[in-house]
Amino acid sequence: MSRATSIPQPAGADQPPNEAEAQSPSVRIIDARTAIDELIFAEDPWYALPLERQRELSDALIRQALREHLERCPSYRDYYARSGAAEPGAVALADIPLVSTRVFKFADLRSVEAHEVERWYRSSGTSGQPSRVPRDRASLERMVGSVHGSVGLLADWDEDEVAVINLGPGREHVEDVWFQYVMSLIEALYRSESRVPRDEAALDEIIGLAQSLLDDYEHLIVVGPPFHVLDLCEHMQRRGVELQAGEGATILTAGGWKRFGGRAIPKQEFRAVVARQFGLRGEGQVRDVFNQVELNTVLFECEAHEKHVPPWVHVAARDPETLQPVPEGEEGMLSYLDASCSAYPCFIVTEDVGVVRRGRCACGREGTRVDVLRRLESRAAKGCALKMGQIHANG
Amino acid sequence: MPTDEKAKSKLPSAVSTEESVLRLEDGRQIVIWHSRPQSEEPVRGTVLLAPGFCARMYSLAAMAAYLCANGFAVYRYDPLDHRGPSSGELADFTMTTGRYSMDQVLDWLARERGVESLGVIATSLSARIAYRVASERDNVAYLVTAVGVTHLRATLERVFGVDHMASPPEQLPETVVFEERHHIRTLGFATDAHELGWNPAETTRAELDRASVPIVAFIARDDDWVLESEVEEALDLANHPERRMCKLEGSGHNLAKNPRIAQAMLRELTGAVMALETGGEWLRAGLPPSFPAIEREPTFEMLTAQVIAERRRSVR
Ligand SMILES: [Zn+2]
Repeated sequence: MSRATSIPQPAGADQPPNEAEAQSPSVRIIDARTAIDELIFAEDPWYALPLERQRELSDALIRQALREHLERCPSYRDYYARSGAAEPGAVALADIPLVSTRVFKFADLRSVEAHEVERWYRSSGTSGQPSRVPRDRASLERMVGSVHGSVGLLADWDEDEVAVINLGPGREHVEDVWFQYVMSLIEALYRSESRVPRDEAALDEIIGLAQSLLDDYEHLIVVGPPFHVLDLCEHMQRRGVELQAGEGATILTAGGWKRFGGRAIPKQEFRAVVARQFGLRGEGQVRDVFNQVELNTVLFECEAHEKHVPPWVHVAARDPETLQPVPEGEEGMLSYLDASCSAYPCFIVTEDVGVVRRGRCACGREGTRVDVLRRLESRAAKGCALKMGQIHANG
Repeated sequence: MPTDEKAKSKLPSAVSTEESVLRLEDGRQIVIWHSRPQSEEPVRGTVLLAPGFCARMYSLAAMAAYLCANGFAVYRYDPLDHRGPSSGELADFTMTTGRYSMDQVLDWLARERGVESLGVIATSLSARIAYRVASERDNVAYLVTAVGVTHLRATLERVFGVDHMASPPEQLPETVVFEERHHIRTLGFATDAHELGWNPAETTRAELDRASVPIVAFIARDDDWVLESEVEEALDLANHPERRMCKLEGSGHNLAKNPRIAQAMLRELTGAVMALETGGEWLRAGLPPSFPAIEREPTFEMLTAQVIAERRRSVR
């Protein structure tokens, strides 16, 4: 499929359907193409593109998104003007003014009309003010596309062959908590069962369900936050259950390791425990995915346990004081420029510390990878968040 | 600051869908879904959606949702010997089985639901069947096709990379594999296609020369299986002002792949059905220069809720 590899055309590339140019009264041309959607929903996966091509796409798509948000989001436009950044055609991606994720705790930042907002989603933090982020239809569809397009990093499954156990609430019980909402959408892709492992009885039921789905389906995916997966494994240990999934299961952790608290164990050890308890062929079948409410794209781990970043997202690790990108491979505050989001300017600096790598991954694919290591808890971070918070002052 | 719009976000309800089972005299059954608008207003009209080869009824969830949201009663069915819940296996499908299934459903709609006249919307392979049905039955008021096949043999050659229809029966492989997973027996399909004239482009053209219903055909400009030129040839637009082609830029045969294109297509298709439903002789003189704008558009959440509800119904 050639569309994905053609250079996006910024001018007019994201216009509404052009229905004017009909050749004759009997023919209508409907042109709803946009460069970003052609990449996200391409037949061929983005991770098969050469690194240089990924860079070109990244540059063009993020600049296009920047122009659109400057046009549609007055608060961001003012903030951009005050920042002294060069005009959108000339600004380096690293110099695009960033919004602190803290801003979403109190500001109403959006680039679409109120009636275009499908819903405001919030972060799942248990303490403090949650972030609230709007999403429109296109942003939601692209988020789902980012999942669909990256599932290939796990395996090539037919939808009929796969069953999913989601260790969280099902669709009827999710409200506007983004993490739970995203997890519940898996049911639009695969046959899914949702169970919250809240007590022993629930854990017993999940074990029974896993056994029967392993019998009935070629592949079982168990997805949930790491602490729930660990609960399940420990419960299996207590019950003396060791599943024999072989190659027939993938355990997908999502939602971060933050709530592990005192129970945190190194990821390698975690993978070994899970692989043993499920009887997996290898630890490569235990993968992690990353997302946060302020980021529209879901990032998947490859078999080498590296999170690949698609070309419509630019990720950088930055010095917390200067906000300048640190040399590749060094730790810094993670920032993302995500062109898949039309609902708000998804040009964010987070409070996570991580490392960014570019080039060829151990899995053989070329591209950018990010390793999210921990939360930043220093004074510098808070100072930075305040500085970024200025977007709201005049917004 | 947070505004009222944040407070009112809640799950919107999906379209309501009921299942019926049409039991045939030979004991086989065809499963039919009926989706209705949620509003109390009288329905604007009735349409029947025919899924493409190998596609399940829930693959048409979004189309059904758009049509329901704009006032239509929507029926869908799974043909015999197909992938869904109706009797038989996909491996045994033939064009004539597809034709028989569509006829049975149209008869059932007239008999059981009093639907004397309706629109048919057919996708891919089922469009080839619908072209014949529309040329032979008078209760089809209008036809809308999406990536509809008009030259069966040529399309099959592109799909399988081999022109199996050129093989003598004894040299046919027992099965061919569709989309890497679905085994289809060849002998019954090929024999039927030869004997009942499904293969050539000429029979489609001849059937459409006899058909008098308005037709709107959506094609995808990057479709590797159905060529724009074949559809143009079959529709003979120059001599039929009651027909129109809508060409989707940037799409391949799978119209649902890119949601921006799918959305534009569903808006245009729903507008087309709204125009066609107003019916009457005046349409024969020519379709309006543009179709009306749709009145209501389902949200992402409504579409997702419907897909999930229909998926659950399918696997239960
Ligand atoms: Zn990798």
